[in-house]
Amino acid sequence: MERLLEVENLRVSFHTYAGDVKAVRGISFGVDKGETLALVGESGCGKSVTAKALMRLFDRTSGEILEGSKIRFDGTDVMALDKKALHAFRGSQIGMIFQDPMTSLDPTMTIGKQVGETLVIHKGISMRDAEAQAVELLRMVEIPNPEERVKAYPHQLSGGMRQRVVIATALACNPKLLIADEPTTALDVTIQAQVLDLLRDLKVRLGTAIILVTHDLGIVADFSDRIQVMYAGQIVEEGTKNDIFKRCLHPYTWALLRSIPQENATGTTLYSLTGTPPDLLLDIHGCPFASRCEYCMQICRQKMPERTECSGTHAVSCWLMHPMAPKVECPIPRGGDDARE
Amino acid sequence: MPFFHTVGWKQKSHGFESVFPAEIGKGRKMIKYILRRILYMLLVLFIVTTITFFLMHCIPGDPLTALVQKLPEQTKINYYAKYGLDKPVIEQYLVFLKGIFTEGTLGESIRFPGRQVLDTIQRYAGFSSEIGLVAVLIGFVVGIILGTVSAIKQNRLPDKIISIIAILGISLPVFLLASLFQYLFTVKWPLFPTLGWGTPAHKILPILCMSFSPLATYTRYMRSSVLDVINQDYITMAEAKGMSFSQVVRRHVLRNSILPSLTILGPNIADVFTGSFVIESIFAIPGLGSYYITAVNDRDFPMIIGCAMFYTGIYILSLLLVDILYVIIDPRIRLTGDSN
Repeated sequence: MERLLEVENLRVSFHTYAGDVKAVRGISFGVDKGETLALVGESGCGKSVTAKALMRLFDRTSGEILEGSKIRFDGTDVMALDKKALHAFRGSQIGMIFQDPMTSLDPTMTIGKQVGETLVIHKGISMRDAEAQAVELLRMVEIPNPEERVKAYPHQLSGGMRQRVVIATALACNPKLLIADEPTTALDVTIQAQVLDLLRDLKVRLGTAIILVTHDLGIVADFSDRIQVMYAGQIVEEGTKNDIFKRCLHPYTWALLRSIPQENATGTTLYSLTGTPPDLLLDIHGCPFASRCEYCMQICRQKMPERTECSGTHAVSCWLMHPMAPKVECPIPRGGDDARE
Repeated sequence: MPFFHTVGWKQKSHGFESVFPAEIGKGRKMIKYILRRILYMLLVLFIVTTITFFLMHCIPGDPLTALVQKLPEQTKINYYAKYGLDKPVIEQYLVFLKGIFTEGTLGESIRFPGRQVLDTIQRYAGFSSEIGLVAVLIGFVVGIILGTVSAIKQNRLPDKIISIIAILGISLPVFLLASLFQYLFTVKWPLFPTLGWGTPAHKILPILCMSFSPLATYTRYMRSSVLDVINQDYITMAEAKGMSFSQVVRRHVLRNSILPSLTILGPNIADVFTGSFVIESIFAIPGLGSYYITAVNDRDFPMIIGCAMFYTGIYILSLLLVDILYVIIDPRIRLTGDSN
C-alpha cells in the first residue's frame, strides 16, 4: 500500500489564560491510500484536535500546532504551506465531515450552493455549473429528488439528509482523504447505520481513505481497517481491527471494551472506569493512564512507557510489555476466531 | 382573503409540495402577506390616531387659549366656533374623520392659519429625512463593517479602538457632540458652515453628528452577533472547504449575523423622518422635529394629530420593511399564515 498521510510527533496546544492546554502530545501515525483508520478515545483525549490539525484548522482559535510537528500528505509538507496554498489544499485534498449536521450547514444558503461552493473555490467554475454538479453529488449520496433538493434550505431537511449533504460537500472535489469527525454521534441509531453504510459504499466506489474519529467502538469494529486508541493526547495502542478487539494489550483498551454493554449480560453491573483523565494543562511525567490503571506499578508514575511493537501491525505503550513486568491476563473473555479482515 | 386561493399554486404539481411548502409561490405568498400587513397597519394607524386625538384634548388648554385671553367674550365665542372647538370632543373627532375620508385632508394649522398640515409635514419631513436617512444609512453600513472587524479581531488592537468609538457613540449626548463638532470644524478649522440650510456643506456636520449614535449601536449589535456566528460549525466547515477567511465572512458570516441589527433599523428609520429636535435646533435645520415640538407646546391640534399619524405610519411601514428583509435574508423565518 502506498502511504498517503504521514504524521510525525504532532503536538497541538491551546493557549488559555490558565496556561497551555497540551491537547495532542507528540503522536505519530500514517494512513495508506484507500485505508480506513479509526481514532478512538473518550471526550477530550485529543482525537478531534488531531483531525483538525491535519488541515491546520485552528485559524481563529487559540490552538497552535507546535514546532517539530510534521504532517506530510501525498508528497506535500502541510506544515510548510502558506496561506494561499493551504486554502487550495483544504477541501480539494482532504474533505471533512463534522459531528452535528444541524449546525454544520449554513442556514441561510441553499444546499446546492453549499455543496457547489467547494467546486467554485477549487475548480474555478461558475456557481451555476457548480449547482448543476451538486445535483450529481446529491444523487451520489443517495438523496432522493436531488434536482429539487438543491434548492432547499438546510432546515427543510432531516438530520440524516443533512449529514448526507455534508458528506456530498466534503467529497465534491474527490479528495484523497476524508476526515469524519464523529459523523454519526448526533444522529439517531437507524440513521447512523444508513450514514455508515453510505460512507462504506463511497469508500469502495471512490477509493477515498477515511479517518474516522469516534468514541463508539461499535462503529469502529464494523468500519475500519486499523484502529488507534488515544488517551490524554497520546496513542496508547494501535493495531488492526483484530489486534484491538481480539489481542488488545493496554489496560485502557481493556477498560474501553469492558464498558460496552453485552447482549447476554442481563443482571450484571456494566463495568465503568473510575477516575478522570489527567489535566491537560499539566505536564505528565509517567504514563497518562497510571492514576486510573488497575495494574499500575511504580515505574508507571515515573516514566512514560516506550512504544512496544508486538507484531507488524500492533503496537502498545505500556509498562506491562516490559520483560520484567508481571504477566497480566486480559480481563475480558476473548471468544471465537479472528473476525474477517 | 379567499380570492387569492383561486390562483393555482396549490394545484401546481412538481411532486414536492409536501417537502418544501415554503418554496412554492413564495412571491405570491409575500404579496398576500404584505397586503394583510398593510390592512393591519391601517387598523393600528386608526387606533393610534383615535387615542392621540382624545388624549390631546385631555391636556389643559387649547390652541386659542393664549390668543383669546384679552379679547371680548363674543369674539372669543366666534373664534371657537370658527375652528369648531366649541363642539363636544366626539363631534370634533367625527368632523376630523370626515375630513380625512371625504377630502383627504388633515386640516389646517390653527396657530399658523393658512398652513395646511399635510403640506407642512411633506415639506419639513423632507428636510429631516435628507439628513436623517443619510445619517442612519452611514451609521448602519459603517456600524456593520466596524462591528464585523471588531469581532474578527477580537481582543486585539482594532477591536479595542472600535470598542472605544462605540462606547463614546453610545454615551456621548448628541448636543455635546454637536457643539464639539461645531467648535472643531467651524471655529478651529473652518471647513464647514456652523449652521443653516441650503448647500450640501450645511448637511455634513449634522449628518456626522446624527450618524454617530446609530453607528455605535450597530457596531455593538454586529460585534456580538458576528462573534456568535463565527464560532458556529458551518463556519469551520466553510474553512474546511478551502475558503479564505474573507470569503467566509462575505458568504456566510454577514448574512447570518445581520438580523439583530436589522431589528433596530426599522425604528431608527422612523425616527429620522420626524427629525432629531436637538440636532435640528443646534444646526438651525428647518426639519419636522421643531414643528412637532412647537405644535405640542401650542396645542395646535391639527398639527399634533398630523405629526402623530405621520410618525405612526412611518414607524409601522419601516417595521414591515424590516420584516420583509427578514424573510429575504433568513429562509427559516416563515411568513405568518404559511400553515394554512
